[in-house]
Amino acid sequence: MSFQRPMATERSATGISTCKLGVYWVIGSEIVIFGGLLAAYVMFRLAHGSWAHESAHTNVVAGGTNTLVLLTSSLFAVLAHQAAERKDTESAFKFLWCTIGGALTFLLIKSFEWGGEIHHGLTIHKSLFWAFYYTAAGIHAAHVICGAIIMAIIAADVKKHKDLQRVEAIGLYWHFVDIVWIFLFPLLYIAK
Amino acid sequence: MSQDHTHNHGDHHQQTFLEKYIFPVDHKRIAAQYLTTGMFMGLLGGFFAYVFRSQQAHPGHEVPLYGLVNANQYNALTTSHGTLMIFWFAMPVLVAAFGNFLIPLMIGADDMVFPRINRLSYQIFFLSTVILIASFFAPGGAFGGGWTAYPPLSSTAQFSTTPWGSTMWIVAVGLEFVAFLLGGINFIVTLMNARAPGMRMYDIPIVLWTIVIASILFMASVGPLLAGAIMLIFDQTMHIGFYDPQKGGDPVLWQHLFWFFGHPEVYVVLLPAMGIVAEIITVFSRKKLFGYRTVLFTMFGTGVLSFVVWAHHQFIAGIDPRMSNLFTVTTILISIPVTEMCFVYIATLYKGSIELTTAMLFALSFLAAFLMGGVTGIFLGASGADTYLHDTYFVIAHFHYTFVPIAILAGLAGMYFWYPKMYGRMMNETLGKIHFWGTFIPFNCIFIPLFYTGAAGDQRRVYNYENFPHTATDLHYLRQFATASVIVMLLFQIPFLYNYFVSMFKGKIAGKNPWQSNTLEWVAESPPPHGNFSEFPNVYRPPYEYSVPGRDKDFWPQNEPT
Amino acid sequence: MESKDSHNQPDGGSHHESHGTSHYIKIWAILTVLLGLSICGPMVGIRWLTLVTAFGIAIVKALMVAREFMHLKIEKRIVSYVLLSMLILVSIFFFGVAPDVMKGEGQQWVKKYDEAAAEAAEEAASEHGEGGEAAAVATNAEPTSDSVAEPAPAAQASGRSKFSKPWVATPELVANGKQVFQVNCQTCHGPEGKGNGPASTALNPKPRNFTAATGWKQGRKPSQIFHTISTGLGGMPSFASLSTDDRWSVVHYVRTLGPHAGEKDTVADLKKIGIDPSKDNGGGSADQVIPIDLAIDRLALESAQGDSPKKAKK
Repeated sequence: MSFQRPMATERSATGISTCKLGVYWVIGSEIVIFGGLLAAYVMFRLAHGSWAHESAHTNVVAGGTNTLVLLTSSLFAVLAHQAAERKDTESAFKFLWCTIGGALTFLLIKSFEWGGEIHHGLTIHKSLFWAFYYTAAGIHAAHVICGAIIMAIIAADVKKHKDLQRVEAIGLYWHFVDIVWIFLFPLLYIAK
Repeated sequence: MSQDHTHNHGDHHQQTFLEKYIFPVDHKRIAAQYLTTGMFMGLLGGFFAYVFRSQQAHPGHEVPLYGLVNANQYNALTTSHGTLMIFWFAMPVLVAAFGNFLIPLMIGADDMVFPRINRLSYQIFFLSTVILIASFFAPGGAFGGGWTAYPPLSSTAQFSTTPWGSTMWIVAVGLEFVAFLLGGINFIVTLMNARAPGMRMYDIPIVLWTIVIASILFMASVGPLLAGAIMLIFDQTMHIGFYDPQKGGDPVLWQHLFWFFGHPEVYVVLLPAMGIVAEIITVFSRKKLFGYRTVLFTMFGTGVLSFVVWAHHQFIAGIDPRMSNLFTVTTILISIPVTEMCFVYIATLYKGSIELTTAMLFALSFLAAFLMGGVTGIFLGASGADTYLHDTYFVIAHFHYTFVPIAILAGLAGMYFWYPKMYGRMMNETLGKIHFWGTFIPFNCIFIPLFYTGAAGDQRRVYNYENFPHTATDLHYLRQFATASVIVMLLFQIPFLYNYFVSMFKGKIAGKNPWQSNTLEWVAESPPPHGNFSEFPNVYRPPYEYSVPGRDKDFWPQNEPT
Repeated sequence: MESKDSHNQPDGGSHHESHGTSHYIKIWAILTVLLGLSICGPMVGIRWLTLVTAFGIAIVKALMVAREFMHLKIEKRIVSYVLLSMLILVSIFFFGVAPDVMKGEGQQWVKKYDEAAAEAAEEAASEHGEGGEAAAVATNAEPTSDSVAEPAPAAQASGRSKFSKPWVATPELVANGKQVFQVNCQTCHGPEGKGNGPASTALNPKPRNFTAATGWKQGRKPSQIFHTISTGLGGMPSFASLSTDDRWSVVHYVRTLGPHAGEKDTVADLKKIGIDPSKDNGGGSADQVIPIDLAIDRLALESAQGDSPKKAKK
């Protein structure tokens, strides 16, 4: 049961590769998803002064470290893309796995962070601030997980010299995930 | 300058039954899957309408083929009718089925650019269908909070009495959104990138523009609602309180999240319908589309405007009145581009050589009925008049005068028009015309009375008007007339179903281009094989070159070299 | 949506880049420095500085990632336009919705979520050194259990009441009850409470006949009728959406429709639905404990407000 890629996938009337174009539209739709959620959060945050006290209890060290982790993983994603461009599959594979390593580190730090918070009673039920906190960061984490899985699959293909153009595509997705966190960090962690 | 990619898929591997029909990657098969599921759900939604209208007409009596309808069931039926018709009938048929079938064929490609994502999108859609139908059998029954699912009714089991049904409903809707996001990305990228050599921006058939712009509108508007749906699920299952004022939340937030999507959604279904109608009226008046660029840029304008009108659904929800003023202006404004598109179509017909095939009849009826629906929308768009008319049957009549032409009249027009390409055989015209008149006339008989009862004060979502003796009981005969018309209209779908299935085997062989149309899908065999074209076409001219002076034939296919 | 006549090699953009690894590492270093600034800035505590450093820098960082890592600065413009339009839509959403969602009160309503109480509770708690959760939980929490043992908040018999001890019948309550009954109950239970209202034709079993002494599944005592109204029973939905006053009114009216005067509540009966009969307002649940100084503030605020928030403004 072999799947044969259609000829249509190779065409490019716009000059942008199909793969990249698809990822950009995915990113576009994700902007509105996260944007909607965060817009709602901002509205509530501005209307409820008391939330500043709540957000004082978020762990800025963990959040800041995670921001650094994601930035670094984005760097590796770009280096992977560079390697793929010059057909250096060994390096591309290594850099992709460094990026995935960043993702895993992010998730590890987050699980410790959340574990601690839940232990102190700062659960999703505690107040609407915490509800938004867990929901927004949770949806973001879900995207990190999915991105890491897809990246691993692409890395496996890259090792076999297959579909190198996908390295850039998953990199773009990854940068977007990074950008979302760049905004989540001040919104959720930096108290007024 | 033109390159010829002769890519023969042939039969280099025999496809198993599973590969071909259950897990296909071929866009035509996936289109068929969407069409089948969509038609089934549409019939189910129609059945629900029959049941609850029968309860309206004869309250408290057993409805044949169903039983007694109690208040909870009535709510579940109306909710399910709306949900099914919009999300599981109009969108799958108009956007997914026609989009999947037409886009690769009309741009001269062999498939969508992401066939496996295409398959995944149907699988997710199928899953959402299963979950929704399962919700009908869940403890407590199906969700009954309206297709708009306002909290706290939708978020609190204490009020909705359907804890399982509510959550299953919102999960199904959320999954359906994801399926259409995936499908939409496929459509957009395919149209942008995989066009035949020579097909520039203004050579693209209007129906493809409409389907792709609809996909963009969908994708750009559904985001906040997806976030909102997750918040609603948390409210329902974990009692969080995103929409609960007692916990700091706001139920009006849900309304905004919903309608920010809900309004562009109606254009998501309207645009493909208008695209289908454009294709049909050009072919059957043998005339160029009156203003291709006008239609195109008007379509862009409609799409943009559709994002700033949403709160006209919330005029009496207690929103900021200054916002109401703004939204009244934008709502009235948006009627202009849409009407303009309709007028361009009418101008296309003028002095054309009209051939009244069944498809053409449906397309023309779309124009007439949709214009009526649009006009009645003006009353509702003005916040002052809407204060009285909101939540009455006037609104119901208005949106059925827009939705039924979109989903049923235009959808059926498309099915009659492209049936020869899909199945290689012609449908029976006589049965088609019987079907047409038996659909169009009862449709008017259902909803014109409802304009009256609505203006007289009939509120929506009322299970038994006898509970409100001060409402217009002297207009009860109108409710009964409308109900009788529903039954007639449903019965007249039988000739269509018979025609549809029997013609697949007994219909006249269609050949490649029975309608003598210009667009590229008619270049392929009927039905097109896997891979669509044995020789991929190039494009030399725009799609509507009909009746060009000085030529012996009255059509000029896009792929015919100059 | 520009198209070309021939099928060129895609990705013209990235081929032209001659930035090396060092460039990307430089960008990363700048981003890290900016990150540090955005953390330190807010620590100073000046509001505008916080906004600039936390959010302004975030925007700068995002743009840098987009332009340099995603190569948007050499990508075809259409991509940037599409992404930008999505952002514009998000802002349209925000500005269209904020006037409603950010409002705390209107002409006839007030958002029940009590800002002042929550803030004061937080401050009081943090003064006491504890993480603040205990007091915060006390003010913000709402009993979320669905078990029957603990009455759900809406079913609680206490709460803001215009009447003192509404579980005791008075002519005023009965009169109010009659009105509420006509609007909410009559369709099923009928105008005389015989269980023969117009909606009852579709119901099986039929609604309760209040004129009869038998057949009351959960009893005829006031507390029991209150419980039934609040939580529903079988085909009857819950009417917890009615205020506690209205529900008690209906209880008393319904009891006048038949020979039920003999069925009275004991103290235990009332405690079962969460009422402490020694208190005028029924006492409230233990969860709603708040510090005394806060309670005094609230009392002052409520007596200033009276019935409508508008009065407080005068």
